Amino acid sequence: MTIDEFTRGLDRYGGNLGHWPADIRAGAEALIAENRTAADLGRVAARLDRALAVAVEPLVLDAAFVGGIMANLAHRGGHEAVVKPTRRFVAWAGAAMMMFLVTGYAIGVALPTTTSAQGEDAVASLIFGDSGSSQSTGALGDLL
Amino acid sequence: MSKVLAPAAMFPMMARPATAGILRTATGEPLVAASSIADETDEALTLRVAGGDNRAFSEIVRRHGGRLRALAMRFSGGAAEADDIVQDTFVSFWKTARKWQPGGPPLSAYLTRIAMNRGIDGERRKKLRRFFGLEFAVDVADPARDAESTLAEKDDLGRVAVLLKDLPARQRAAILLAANGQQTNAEIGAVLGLSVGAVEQLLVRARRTLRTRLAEMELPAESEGR
Repeated sequence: MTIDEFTRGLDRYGGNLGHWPADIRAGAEALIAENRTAADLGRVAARLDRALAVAVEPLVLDAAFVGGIMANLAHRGGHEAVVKPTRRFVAWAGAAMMMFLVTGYAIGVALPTTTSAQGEDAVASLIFGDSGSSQSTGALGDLL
Repeated sequence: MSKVLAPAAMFPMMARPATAGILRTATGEPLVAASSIADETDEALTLRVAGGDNRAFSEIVRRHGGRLRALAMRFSGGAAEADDIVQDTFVSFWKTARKWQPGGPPLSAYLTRIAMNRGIDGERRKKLRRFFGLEFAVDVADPARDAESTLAEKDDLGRVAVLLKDLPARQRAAILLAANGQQTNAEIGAVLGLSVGAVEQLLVRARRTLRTRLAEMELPAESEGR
């Protein structure tokens, strides 16, 4: 086993060689025995594992903490109602969505297409009334 | 003898006061024959909680609170934040106990999942606040955190606690869940909502980062000692 393979093993299985697959454990142990760098890497990884295990050891709960949770419970309310959509609701929602999609598509297909000039005229007539786009500049001038 | 638990839809019928007697299975036989609430299984207690039993809830808090508190403490890096996470977890459990399905994942995994999600959400909110420059308005100084930082170099636990804070949230969650060596990657994946492959990647990255930084922290200490 090379140092790189050993390092990858440490990252994958941790510093406790007992957790390594049996087929590569012997190679790792041999490397540690003959290579000081590997031994140092293994030692740090083992210390890391031990520290992590201690870090997640259950903490002692005092009565005040439990009491605080109970008080919080009283303050923040009761059980949440379990609301699940019924099949009928899902069917109606699906049908409504399909109807909207089909209607939108039909409107999109049915509406006549316009050229850009026609579009500008339509906008101008909306702003300046039915007098036509030809008079729009004059009307704008009056306004200004 | 295998016992068949009543389906979730039966929970309201099973909601009786704790003193009223014994919870029953779908076939009518007693669910537990426990002499005290402390002897009851998590499943039986959860059924009681779903029926509004405060004593059962309190027992679940005592049973799982210490583990969740330690996990939340190492995840958030502060005692106050950890207590908030644990409180939120149990309040959420109280509200959603009826959704928990007997026969599914164990209650410990269910509670851990709630706690980790709370922790990750809190981290996200904190980042957002920091992004908008609001962190100063909401981040109250935490004496426990300050003390831990000051004593960080005291021992490996202190060093690792400090290093954990710099890990991305999901890596931190994965390495903490794997720390006691009792959970498989599949179980960790179930808690975090990730695939086994994703959990393995998170663990590899987290171990590499922590191992490298722990070694780096050790070097100056060693050279000072010489």
